[in-house]
Amino acid sequence: MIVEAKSAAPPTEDERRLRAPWRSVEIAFWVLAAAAYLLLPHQLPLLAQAAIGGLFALSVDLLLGIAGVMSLGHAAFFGIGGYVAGLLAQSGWGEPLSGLVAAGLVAGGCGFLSSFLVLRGSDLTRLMVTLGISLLVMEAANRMTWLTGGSDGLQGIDVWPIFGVWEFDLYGRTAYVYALGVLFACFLLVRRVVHSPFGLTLRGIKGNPRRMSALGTPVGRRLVGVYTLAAALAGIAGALLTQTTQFVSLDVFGFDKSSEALLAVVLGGAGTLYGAIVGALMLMELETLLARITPEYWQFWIGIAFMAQALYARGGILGFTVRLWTRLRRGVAAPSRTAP
Amino acid sequence: MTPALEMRRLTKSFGGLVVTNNVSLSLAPGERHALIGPNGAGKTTLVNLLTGVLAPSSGEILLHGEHITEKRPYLRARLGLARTFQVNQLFPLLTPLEAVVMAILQRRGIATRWWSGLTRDRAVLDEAWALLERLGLGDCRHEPTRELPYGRQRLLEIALALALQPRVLLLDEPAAGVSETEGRDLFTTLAALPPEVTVLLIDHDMDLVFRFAERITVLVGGAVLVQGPPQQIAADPRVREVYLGAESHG
Amino acid sequence: MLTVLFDGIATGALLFLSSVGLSVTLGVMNFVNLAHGVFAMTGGYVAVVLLNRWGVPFLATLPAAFAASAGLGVVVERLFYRKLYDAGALEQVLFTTGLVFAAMAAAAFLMGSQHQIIQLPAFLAGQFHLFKGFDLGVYRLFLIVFCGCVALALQLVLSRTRFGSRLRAAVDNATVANALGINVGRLFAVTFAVGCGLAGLGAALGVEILNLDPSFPLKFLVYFLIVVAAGGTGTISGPLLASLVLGICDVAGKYYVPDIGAFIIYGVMVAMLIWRPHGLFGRRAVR
Repeated sequence: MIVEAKSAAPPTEDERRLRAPWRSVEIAFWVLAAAAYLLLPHQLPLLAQAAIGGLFALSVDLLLGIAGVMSLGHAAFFGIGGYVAGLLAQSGWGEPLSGLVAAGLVAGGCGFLSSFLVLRGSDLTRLMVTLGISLLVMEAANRMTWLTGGSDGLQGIDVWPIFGVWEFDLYGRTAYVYALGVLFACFLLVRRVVHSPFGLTLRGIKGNPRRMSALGTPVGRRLVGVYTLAAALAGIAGALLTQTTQFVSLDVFGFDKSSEALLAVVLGGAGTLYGAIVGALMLMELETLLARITPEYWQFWIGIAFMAQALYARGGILGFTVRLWTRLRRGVAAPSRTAP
Repeated sequence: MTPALEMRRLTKSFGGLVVTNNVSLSLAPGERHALIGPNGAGKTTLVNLLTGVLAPSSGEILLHGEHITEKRPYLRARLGLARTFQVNQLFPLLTPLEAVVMAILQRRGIATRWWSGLTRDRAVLDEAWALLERLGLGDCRHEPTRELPYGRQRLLEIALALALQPRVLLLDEPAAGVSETEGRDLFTTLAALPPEVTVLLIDHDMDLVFRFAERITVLVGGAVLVQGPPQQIAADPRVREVYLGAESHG
Repeated sequence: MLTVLFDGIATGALLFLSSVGLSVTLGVMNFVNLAHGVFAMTGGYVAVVLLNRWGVPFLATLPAAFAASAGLGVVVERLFYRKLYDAGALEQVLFTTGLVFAAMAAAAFLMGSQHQIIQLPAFLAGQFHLFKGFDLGVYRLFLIVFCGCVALALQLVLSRTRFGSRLRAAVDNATVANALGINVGRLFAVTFAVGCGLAGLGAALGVEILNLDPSFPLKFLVYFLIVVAAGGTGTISGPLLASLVLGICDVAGKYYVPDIGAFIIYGVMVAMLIWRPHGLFGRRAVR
């Protein structure tokens, strides 16, 4: 069937919407993040951790919010990346950027291999398989004491200055700039992917995998692709953590790591990318606050936060804000029409 | 001439229950064929067999002379076999424009590009826009699909199949649940399908079927009861008995 | 060798009690309940408190543990889970994960983070000496017999009573069962409560064998999931067999190859899920 292209060209509005140009809010977000370096000099170590958590949550959002794949074991790749960077630095190669690349490659490779196990069956099976694999990886790291230092963690990590110039300092200045820079670079990549044909396909798969295959899309293969990419990004986040703290322990594989990233994504609003970063920041602030109030039992309140989120705040903070915003702009009238 | 779509002794059984029984059917290129039958006759099962959602217990399926019996659903779609669904299978959060662009990108084999934007190929946009305009979806192309009225969603269901520029199109009850006015729009759309596309229409709506089809196959209990041009089917006493009588359409 | 087998069967029996209820919520109601261990842990701690602080006789703590867990199950199900049945798996995961975290912190706050120790009554302590090299712990024998009886009772309830036939109908097809006038919601609620009660009973019986401490819900989550994944849903024999195999593997693994211990279990789980995503013996959940 041939569609006649001679009809009037589509309005430029179509092109603008599909191109997803940068909005001023987005630019403001990054300017603000950069300005934090000057505005919050005492918070920098914490903000660096938030940027790392944000990158990890971003990788989970790519998987969950964009492609609709749920994982309870994404920390496996975070941990693998962390240990790759740690082992490299420990064995005498402390150059940070190449460490990140190596971590991303190894974690991505592991993600690629395990994707064939993960991406079958229902949501429930996926949850269990991802959980099982992450526990398996953690247990392996725990047993391979000669390589990983076991439960003591990896000692003696010496990371060189970035570009051979900027050394990591005690005030977290370098760490923050470095972490934010890497987060921004990865964000650009993810944003690009999400608004590409491949990204649109992923959103389609999330919406309706059955129809996607009727449209000629090999759903499994696309998911292998995004799972690999998400694993690589998680690995980079893990490597960042190792490099900025000069330490890595088995905690990086933990179940709470995986589930907190899920919470961060949902808290901020799944599928919005920014939501993942904001959610990770909020969760970190919340944990720091709780840890100050009840140092031993802060997990209780985090648990409560999980439950409240699940029950009352679907769509997340950002989702809520966006809904409110569009509602206000459209004028409060216009009730949404829904199909039977 | 090689048939566009051919089923040879197609059989599907679940346990002891035979839902498709030895169905042989052949559609010439460009043919407008309708498949009717009472509820439970196995019409949707047949579509699922043709598109590869289900695997037949025995028998063969050929698309333009090529065996596709073993092929996965997405490969059949790539070979030019498109379908619509009886129950909408759409993308609730995507806009019609995005969904159609997605289908077109897939057909053109550039859906795996991850480094370029969606607007790099102007031709894709032009095609999507023209298709949406043609189906009367132009004015709502930026609204999320789940907010569209049902009749529009039905049309989008067809638009997605057409975006694949299929050689064979399976329409599974396209008029299911649409109002009378919407039904007229729908028929206009179907009547305007390019003549070279082979269409297998499955529907309850006798008006639609008898106006649209050049040949009709009646399916009862999973088996072909009779096959022929509309006049012959309308006059056939067996058809009147099992179908028209039961459905009180006639 | 025989002792290992025997201990494994005893552990498996405990796992069966603790996880059989989960096969209903997870497998039949399709509710991603990662917090099953919370209900089990509750029963365990109730038994410990009653026994150690209040001096209640051991056997009398068991019904109390059952009742406490079942009660908690009813409350949580009615108040929260019910609202999440129609929500996505993601909300269910978040909620139950949160419940696990909160319960672990609460348990550490109330009971301390150490392993709990209980004093068994004299008639359950000690060992049978059957023949050379084969000693049977009386308590473990008691566990096996007890769990065997429970499994038998469950089987009878499921196959012989009106409740059982309704439940089986609901498992087969909830929609049809509903249409037939069976109150599926209440049926599941009752089953859920009983499942939680059994879990509590299992933890109460296994305070020492399963090492009851605040990390219990997370530690045994995987074991429970394995039992459900391998045992399938809708039968008693499936989870029973899966539990026994798992228990034996676990004990034997820790005994013979302590270096890779838990590794085997996780490996088995992943392998099993990949090999048969819908359970070894079970039918596919209908909904």
